[in-house]
Amino acid sequence: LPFFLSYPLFFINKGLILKLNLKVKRKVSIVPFEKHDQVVYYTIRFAGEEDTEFDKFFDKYDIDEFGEDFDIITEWLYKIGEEGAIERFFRPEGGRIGAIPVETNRLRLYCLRINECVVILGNGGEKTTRSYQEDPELNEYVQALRETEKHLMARMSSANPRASMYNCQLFGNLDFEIEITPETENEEKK
Amino acid sequence: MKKKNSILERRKKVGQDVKNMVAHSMATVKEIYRILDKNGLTQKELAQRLGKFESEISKWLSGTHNFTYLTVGKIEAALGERLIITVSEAPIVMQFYSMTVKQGDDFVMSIPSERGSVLGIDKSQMLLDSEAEVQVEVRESCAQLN
Repeated sequence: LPFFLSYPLFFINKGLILKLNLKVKRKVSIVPFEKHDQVVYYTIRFAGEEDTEFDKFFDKYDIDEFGEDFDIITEWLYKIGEEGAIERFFRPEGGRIGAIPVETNRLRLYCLRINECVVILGNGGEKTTRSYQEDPELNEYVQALRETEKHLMARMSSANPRASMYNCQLFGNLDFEIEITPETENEEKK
Repeated sequence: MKKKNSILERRKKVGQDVKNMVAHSMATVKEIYRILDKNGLTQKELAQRLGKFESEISKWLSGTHNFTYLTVGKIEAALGERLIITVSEAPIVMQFYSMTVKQGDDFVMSIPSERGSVLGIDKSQMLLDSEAEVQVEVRESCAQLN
């Protein structure tokens, strides 16, 4: 075999992990969470689940081990609520996705910042890799928000919008079918 | 909405140290932006003055940066203004307000202040024959404001 064909096969034989990128469709809804002076927070909930994505984050990390880190996120959400969701308060993760806090923390909470007064909270986790893409779990959380962003924006900007935003609140059909690569099916050994 | 009450409860448990840290960091950033705006400077120009990449300055200005005094000192030097002034350093602000009152009047004077101070004067302290212009001296310092 020519070198350019045999080279990948060599690594497959050595047990290289191949990404299959299996996508699954999931139904998700945007649900209201909390209203502050300057910001209305929403979160997302997958169909058939009782907990929202922010609930899951809350349950996972409101524990002694992350006491101060969780405190910072809790206080930061409050401060942003009072000051407004200014772009610089979020670590940019592409598009309207941002993470809080930008610094001083082991935890990251991923958010979809629609504008200065509407923020959709997602799930989050402990930052152990340089970027979220390197962590399958965090990657899945960001994917869910990114897909939600794509569908929400398309729905709001279409000629016959089925969702809209008025006075810092979202209206209309806020249920979507999104495609994500689940963490458990992301990698398979060959 | 299950966790809404939970986060309200959780918020009450946030330590004063964390609240102070977030408040100080955000206040410092606001002050930096105020000085930048006042002088028509950009974040990029601040980065150039500090010899840093703009991406690093962006992190500093995110609101949760744990500023060291050395960093604050460098930013102050670059901007030519103090960012942080302690209570004992803060100048006492003296302002004079005047209004017309008659003997026996009760009055409460609203003093415009960021914290919404209100000054009240008891009528028993007023020894006036008729209408008079009263000048009130208000001393506010940072300590009193906090």
